[in-house]
Amino acid sequence: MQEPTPPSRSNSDWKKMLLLAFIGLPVTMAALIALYGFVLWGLQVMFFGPPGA
Amino acid sequence: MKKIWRWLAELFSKPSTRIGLGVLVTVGFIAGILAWQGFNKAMDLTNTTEFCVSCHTMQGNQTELKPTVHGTNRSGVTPGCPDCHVPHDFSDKIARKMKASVEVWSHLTGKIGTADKFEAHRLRLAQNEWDRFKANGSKECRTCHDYSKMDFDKMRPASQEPMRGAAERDQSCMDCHKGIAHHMPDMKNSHNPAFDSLVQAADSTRIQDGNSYINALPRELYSDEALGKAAGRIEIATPLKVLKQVGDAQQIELLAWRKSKGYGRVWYSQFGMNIVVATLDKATAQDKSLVEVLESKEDPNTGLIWQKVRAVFWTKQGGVMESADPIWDVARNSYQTSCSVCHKQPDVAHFDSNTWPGLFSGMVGFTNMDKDTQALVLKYLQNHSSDFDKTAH
Amino acid sequence: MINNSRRTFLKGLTLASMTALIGPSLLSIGDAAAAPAAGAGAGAGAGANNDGWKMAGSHWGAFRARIAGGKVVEVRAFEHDKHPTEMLNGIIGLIYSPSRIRYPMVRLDWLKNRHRSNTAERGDNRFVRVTWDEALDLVYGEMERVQQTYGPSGLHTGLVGWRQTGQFHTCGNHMLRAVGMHGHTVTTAGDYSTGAGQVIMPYVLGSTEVYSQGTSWELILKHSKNIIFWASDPVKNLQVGWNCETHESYAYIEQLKGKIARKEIRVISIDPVRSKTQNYLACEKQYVNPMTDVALMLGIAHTLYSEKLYNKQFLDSYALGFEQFLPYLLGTAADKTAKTPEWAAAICGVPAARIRELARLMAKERTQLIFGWAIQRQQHGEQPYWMGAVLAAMLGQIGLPGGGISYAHHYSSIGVPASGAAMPGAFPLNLDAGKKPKYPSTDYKGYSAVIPCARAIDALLEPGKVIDYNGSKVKLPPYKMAIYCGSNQWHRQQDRNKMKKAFRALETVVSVDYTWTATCRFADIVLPACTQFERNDIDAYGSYSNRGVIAMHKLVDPLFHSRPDFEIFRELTRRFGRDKEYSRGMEEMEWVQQLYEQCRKENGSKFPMPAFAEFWQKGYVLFPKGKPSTRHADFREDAEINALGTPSGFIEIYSRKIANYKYPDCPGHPVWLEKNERSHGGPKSERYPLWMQSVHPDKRLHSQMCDSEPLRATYAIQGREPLFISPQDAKKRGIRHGDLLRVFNDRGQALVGAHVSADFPPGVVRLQEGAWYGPTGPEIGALDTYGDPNTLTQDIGTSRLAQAISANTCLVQVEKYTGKVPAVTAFGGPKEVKPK
Repeated sequence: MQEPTPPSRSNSDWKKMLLLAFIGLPVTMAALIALYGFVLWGLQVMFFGPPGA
Repeated sequence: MKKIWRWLAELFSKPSTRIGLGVLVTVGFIAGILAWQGFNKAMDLTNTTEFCVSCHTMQGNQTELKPTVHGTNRSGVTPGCPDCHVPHDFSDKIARKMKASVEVWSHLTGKIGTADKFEAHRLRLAQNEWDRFKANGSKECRTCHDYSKMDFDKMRPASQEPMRGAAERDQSCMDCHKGIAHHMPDMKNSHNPAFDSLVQAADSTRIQDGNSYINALPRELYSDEALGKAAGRIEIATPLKVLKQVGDAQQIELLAWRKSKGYGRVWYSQFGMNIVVATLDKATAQDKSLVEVLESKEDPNTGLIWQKVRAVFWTKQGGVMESADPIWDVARNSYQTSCSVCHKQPDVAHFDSNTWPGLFSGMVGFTNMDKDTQALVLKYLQNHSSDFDKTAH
Repeated sequence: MINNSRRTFLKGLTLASMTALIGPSLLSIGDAAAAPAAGAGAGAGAGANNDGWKMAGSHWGAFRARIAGGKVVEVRAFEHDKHPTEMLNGIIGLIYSPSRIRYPMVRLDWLKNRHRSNTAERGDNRFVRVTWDEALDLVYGEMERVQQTYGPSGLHTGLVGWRQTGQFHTCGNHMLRAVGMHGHTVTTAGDYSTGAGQVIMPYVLGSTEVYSQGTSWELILKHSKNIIFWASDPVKNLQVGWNCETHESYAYIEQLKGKIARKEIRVISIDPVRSKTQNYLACEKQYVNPMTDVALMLGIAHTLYSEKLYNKQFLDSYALGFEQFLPYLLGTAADKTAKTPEWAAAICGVPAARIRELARLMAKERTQLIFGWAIQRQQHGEQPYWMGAVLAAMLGQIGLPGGGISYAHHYSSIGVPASGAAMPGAFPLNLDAGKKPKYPSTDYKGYSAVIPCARAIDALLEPGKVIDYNGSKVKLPPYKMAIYCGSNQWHRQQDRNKMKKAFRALETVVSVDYTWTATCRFADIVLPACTQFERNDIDAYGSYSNRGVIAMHKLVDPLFHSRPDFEIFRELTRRFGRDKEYSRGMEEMEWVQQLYEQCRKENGSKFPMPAFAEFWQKGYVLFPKGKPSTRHADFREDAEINALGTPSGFIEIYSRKIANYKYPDCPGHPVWLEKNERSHGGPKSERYPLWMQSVHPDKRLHSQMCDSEPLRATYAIQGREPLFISPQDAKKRGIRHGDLLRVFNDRGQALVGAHVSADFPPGVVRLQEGAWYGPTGPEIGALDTYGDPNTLTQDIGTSRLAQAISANTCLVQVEKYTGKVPAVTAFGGPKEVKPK
């Protein structure tokens, strides 16, 4: 027996998808890259020194 | 908190029921394209000269650049700020971008908000960039200025030789070409810009306890590890032994000669030769617990008694190099240029190390050398005099 | 022949002076307000019409010159020069001198036979005009031949001394850089002016002293109670300077004159003759027999010691070796002679009582000793300088303002404090970094690469001879070719007839100069450089005061076919493909501007300088006065840290180092040594009773300007160099002022004009150095028609230590000349002949 799917479900799927694809993941991507940058900078300050050739 | 996690877990684990897989992927793909494009756009926008100078702090730098060859030239090819100051590799570039947060912060707090404030920090800021160029061999410069594509014969004759040598050594551009795009910071104490290269050479020395080195520049000697009690001054090109390094300090041993007449404050490198390696304070020089006299003998040329002495001092960490050659290079250059203005400069090995001080002090008034350079050149002359160079007649 | 063109030239000269006369009234109506001081538009950009006032600098000071019709017609001292020299009146005559070298010239026989020419003909002055290309090809060909045949010991580049001023065009740098690009050469050590002083003083006071900045005049005027001018004539010698001279010292000498009149300072001039300075200051005089100063000093030292007037504490703390010197002074040394005032009086002619008086006077109050250079240009010239230092050490005032000893207050405004500003650099003398000469060989075949300059003639006569020099051995190199640039070897070197013989050993001699000196006469290839007034340059204003930087505008185009040294040597280097390296690809004005900008950069904000264009227009930039200082004050304050440059770091009354050389003519402490000829009862004085001093001239800079006819006319007598002689000696020989005289000894003879002057004591004559040599012919012994003192002087070293010149050890006899009077041959250039 099939559960009755609330009409909202399809709406929310779309919303979630769009939110994830256009906001959630891009923001995450930017954040991760920033984090990568900060980590690298931190490592440069602590261990590596300025980037070499 | 848990709720959010569960919601997120469900979001990723539960298949969509109403939206077709194709639609999902397609939308995701399009979103990906847009996101990546947007990211790159943002990176590019923040990598333009216009963006850099939007903070007024940076406008002064742009004004300085304008009249230089990197600001305006006959062909109109000029670099923007990021071409030189932002690494071109992805990872280094991202790291640099994040580092810029400090600059934004300084800008917001007004730390370098005015021209005067900027000037006060210029040396530190410049040093950051010089260090970076030193480490990557002036990589950014060399995206345009490639050693392998230089036609040395087309250069001005005076430039040919140094540039050939630099290319052979794959030297970093910034080793020599400092202060060409922006104003040179006010370098206190070291009037002779050639001394900067010695500072840098010393910076790259790997110091091991127990090894012998050459002191790069004149500096203070201390009798304590905390560098609180001044003991005197160690001269340029003085050989020393590093005993140990503790934090910012290093303990060194000096082995030298001194005359017994007077307080014995001036120390010399060799028996009977007036080549100054250090000058001590009166109290230090007389302190028997500090200065150990190893032997005494009479100098046949003056009749004075000379003592071989040893002492242990503290200095700031670093500042030493493995060979004195870079020091002599600077000195030779100064000697040949400054001392040939009026006449042909004498052969260095034409006189001995005790004759040079008299001749040099008699003539140096005609030159523009500052005190430190005078001391350096004299030391060069003494160390390459007939006492050491036996090939001369 | 040249006479024709010379007449035309003289006509031109007359015309020029006419223009000068009518100029102000006719040519510059309405221009009267445009005084030169206003910096009325100069130099660059004036276009075809170059007329107007321009700025120039020289050894004689800065001046502004008015150009009209393409000629220099008027010279006015720089407005900031308050004591300009009379010699500025000679500038126009220097530029338009009939002696100017007009074209590249080659000696007739050399052109025919090249390096195998008859060198005994040198001096006959017969030359053939050639083109620049021919001349430079010949020079280059000879350089190639010599490097290939003999190597570096075959080529001598003569010492360059008082080149024309200007930091870019400084000719020695051009010659040495260009020749250095080709190969190595035999070069020289020391110089002619101060050869003995600059070698001995580093052993004694730890610096050359002769070229050191001295105690500032204002401190001397404030603190000195006595000033002793010992054989020093600053009023005469301060007229000229190494760079552009400022004449600032004269202001202080003027003050000194006032202080003498008010009896605030006592000034004694110790000198055989009444000097220009003594006459100007109206100060006291102490006569001393020529060349016996050391005896007088020993007498004073003996008094200081025996009367306990000397500063023992000073000697203990600051000097070494007084104990080794004492036995000699007191007569317990090998010679068993105490150097008492009585002993000294017999030699130096100063009464013993007066010697004691002098000693007491010096010890009583602050006494500044100021020595000149002439007394070290004699045999054993090291001794008076060393003994002077010993005297000063015994007085114990070294390092105190207004006390101690100076060896150079007559030179280039020493004593005027330095402004502290940097001065412009010069055209590079050395090869650029990493460059090697075309012939890189440094194989001198066992001969010395560097010889004491004064022994350059000995090297030709006795090549291979090993001589002592300053603790080392020098093996005289047999050079076959010599290049002189802006230097007059045939003026500064002693004994012309010896030189004539020696020069025969030379295969090729090249002289680059603007005027036909005797060195050109005895050369094989002569290249005409232009004067400093025919090129653009900059110079330091004040060699020691560093008062400013001065623009040297090109006043007129190079005369005749002359060229700037820069172009001459660039063309030479082009012959072996290194002209671009030589010039660094830059032209005259680029160089001048670069030297200025480098100087400006160095002075930074501390001594601001305007941009080049503004400077060039204005003509100068001046810096404020510097802080006065006291010579050796730092040493006196802390002798350990500020040690002297002597081997011990202290004043060395006795030098073990010198003693270890074991030179009989320069032992370990100062001594009185008899000269090989000396007047007033000394050796050879019976045969040649007159001592001839050849001091620096009053109206020339060495031999420069001797060819300036209007100036020469103010001092020459019957067209000859004046010989100053005492009324007593003149009377004895029946000589009257204005007579033509023959002055002679075993070495040579010269015609001179008698200038009888009471400034000179019996037994002393003066023939100023720098008088041009004009022999009647190339033969050895020929009569000199103008009066070059070095026809008579002897070419011996001062001692084994310095090997410097001994020009002032010279005895002569003088007689009225009664023979057929030959014309003066010194001036007017060569005899131009056509090759067959």
